[in-house]
Amino acid sequence: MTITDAQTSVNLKKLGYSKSAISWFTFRRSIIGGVLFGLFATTESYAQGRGIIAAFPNQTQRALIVHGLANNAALSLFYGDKTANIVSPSGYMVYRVMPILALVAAIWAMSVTTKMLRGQEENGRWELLLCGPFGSGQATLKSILGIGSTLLGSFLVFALTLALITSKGAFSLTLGGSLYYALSIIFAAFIGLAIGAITSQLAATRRSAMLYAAVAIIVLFTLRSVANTINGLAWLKNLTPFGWIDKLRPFYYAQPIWLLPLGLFGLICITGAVFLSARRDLGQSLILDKNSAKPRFSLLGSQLGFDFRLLRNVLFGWLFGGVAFATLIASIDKTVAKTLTGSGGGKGRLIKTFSNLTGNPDSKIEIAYLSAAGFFIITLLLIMAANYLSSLRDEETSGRLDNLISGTLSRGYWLYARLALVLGAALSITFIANVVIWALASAQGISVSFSSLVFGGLNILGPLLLLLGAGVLIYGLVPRFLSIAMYAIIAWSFTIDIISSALKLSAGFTNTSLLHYVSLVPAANPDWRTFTLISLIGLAGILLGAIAFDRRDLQSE
Amino acid sequence: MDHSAVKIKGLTKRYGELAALDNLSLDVNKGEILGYLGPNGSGKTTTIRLMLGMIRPTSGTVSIFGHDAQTEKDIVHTSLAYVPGEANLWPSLTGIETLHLLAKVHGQVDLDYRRKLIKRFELEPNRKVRTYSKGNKQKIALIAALASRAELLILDEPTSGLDPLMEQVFREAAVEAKSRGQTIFLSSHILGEVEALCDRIAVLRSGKLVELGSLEQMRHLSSLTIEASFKGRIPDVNHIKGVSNVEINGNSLVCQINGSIDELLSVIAKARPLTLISREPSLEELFLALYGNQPEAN
Repeated sequence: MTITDAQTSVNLKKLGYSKSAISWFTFRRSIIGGVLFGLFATTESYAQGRGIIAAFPNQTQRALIVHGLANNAALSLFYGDKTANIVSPSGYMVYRVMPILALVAAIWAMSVTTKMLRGQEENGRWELLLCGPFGSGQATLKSILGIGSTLLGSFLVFALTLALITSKGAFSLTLGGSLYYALSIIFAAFIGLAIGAITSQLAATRRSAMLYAAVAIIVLFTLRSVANTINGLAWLKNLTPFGWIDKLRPFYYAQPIWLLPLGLFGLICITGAVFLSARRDLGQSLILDKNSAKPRFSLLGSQLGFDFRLLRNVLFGWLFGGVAFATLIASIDKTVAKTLTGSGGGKGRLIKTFSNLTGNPDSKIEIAYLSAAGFFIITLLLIMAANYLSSLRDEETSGRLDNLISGTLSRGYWLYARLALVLGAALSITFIANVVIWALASAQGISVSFSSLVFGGLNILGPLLLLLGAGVLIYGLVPRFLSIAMYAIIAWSFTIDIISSALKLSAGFTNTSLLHYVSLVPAANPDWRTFTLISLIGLAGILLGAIAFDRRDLQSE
Repeated sequence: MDHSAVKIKGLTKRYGELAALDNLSLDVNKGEILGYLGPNGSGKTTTIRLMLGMIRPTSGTVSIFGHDAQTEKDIVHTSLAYVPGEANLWPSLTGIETLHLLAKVHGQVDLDYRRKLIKRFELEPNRKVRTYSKGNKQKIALIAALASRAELLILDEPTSGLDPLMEQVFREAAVEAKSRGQTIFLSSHILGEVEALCDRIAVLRSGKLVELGSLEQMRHLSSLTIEASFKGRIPDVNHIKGVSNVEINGNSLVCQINGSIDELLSVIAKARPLTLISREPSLEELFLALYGNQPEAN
């Protein structure tokens, strides 16, 4: 065939969408997460609004209790603006849920953005995308547009489902109110996106980009919390996007003007990210990373040591989070107890609500509140376990596992070492967090038995073992569903827990939640029989999963 | 006494309807370098993953030094080292830390030889793996495998990403390994590398073994190439039985012949050639002869 023949036989198909291909690709990879976030936000918001009506049916009861809550400085750290109309169910929902949902939304969007920008650049896929008819800056912008479309999708799911389920019944919201409330929270995700975009240009790895962005988000959130807590520093709220989100005030003197600085902040960060992306070399970063280091062999002598070396930074992050939370809960325990017991007619019901959470309606309020910390620690541990198990599959599909098991290391040993590390980490976090709670409670004069709190608190490892058992079994049998199944189990447990706090659910439903098997000490005595039973089920799952893993084909990307 | 390092019998791996490997039987002798060739998707990596017990066969067996590769992995893996086609390593470790870890995994290492290999491959061992190019990551895997002095080296396209100079360093190291009695199973796309190193060659196509033998034994698969230049008229050779691919460039003639060469030589001789070269087929020509005219089954 001559060159002329070849030229005439070519029949190129023109693809008109090439300019938006990156946006579509990014949207496709992130939209499922967006829809799930929207549904989670709806569930959480509805459960809180509906829950306050169930606990305090009339406005007088609500007024007594919620003013006590709103004037509590410690609670202002995580809850909303005390100027909100928290007597109404919609106002209470905003007060109770919006700041936390805003924080979660920002972290989620930041995680997606760093994955799509720095993550893709780090694993080499960005180069393939840059072969298209656009430069690095344009590719960055197109990816951001794709994530922005996901945020829009998430907003629509959130707003419309909330409007739908609150269109009738005791807890009703207007369509306009739902749209504005959902928009307020999605703007927090937009801020997370913007921060993630800029740190993806600053850091050399996705991990560093996430770390820088997480620090920025926590600092901005803390500024808002400080402004809420200390009267003289209320002006700090004007300096942080999370303060501006508070000031949007859905359902009560709405101030949509604050959307402007939020939009401007996001646009400045995104413009900066696009600008930096267009002007730096591929693979480079503004903050130079350490490219070489003195060798350290100490932890490389065993699989467990090696795993610890790989995961220790993340592990210390989880430990820090757990201990920080325990410190916060324990240090405000006395204040919360005083607030609740001093809040008049509603106190009985609220105390009962707290006490019911612990499974012991007769416990003192300060003990009940202290015990609720166990709920947050198990949440942390379940998410940590899901995260670690997901990393097993990454290790396998990336081919890194091949390097290990082609030598003298067996698959089983590798798997058990990873599980031992997760369990060791969970044990350490639970133990240290409970010791901190005990020490701070004792310092405030609250009488708590060391053994019932610190050793009894270890009962939360039962549900963790159950989750690990399910996870390893899934990993052995259908590994590609591991990550989604783990998070689905956790989401299911929380959904059941949230719904059961507002509505009566049958035992058949509540028994399917992992959280159902947690005894919150010291208010409730650990149920060691249940602990033993679910631990054994978990261990059986681990054993069967490990056998299935040993017998199945390894998978690669 | 069994001289086989690897014995593969009736090995089949199916993914649903697709046979990634179909009834493969093959022996690799102790101390030899076996080249394992085949186009993309022919089943080379599947064979290697079966040998390493990473995937399970639909039927058939692999034994390495007399031990079953599936059921006696613990024993088998003490005597082998593996280099994947694309070395995926841990980005946060440095090069030397990775070598240390892989030495622990292999269970043995010749530290002096490792130092020599680091020098020869011009590796900067204190750099973090994430800063390495693809070729440098491949060097790590190669150095780790070679320094383990394992009895069997299973190499899956080991020079992928290496520059020609480093390919040469690898070839020297492979020859050294063979001279020490190590066995090498070398899957490769680089025919020159296989031609230069291998005692025998196995050729795979669509999961089936289509040729096995030394390069000499495989020469029959392709034609002899004849190149001649003339001062005067170039003779017409098209009518001669077995002659094909005739090319005339100026005063030179290039053609290929299968079967007897007598008639072609006589025609060329009558035309008084200035030069005459006959050349046996290269491995590349053999490979093209095997695959050139046949579409891939899958």
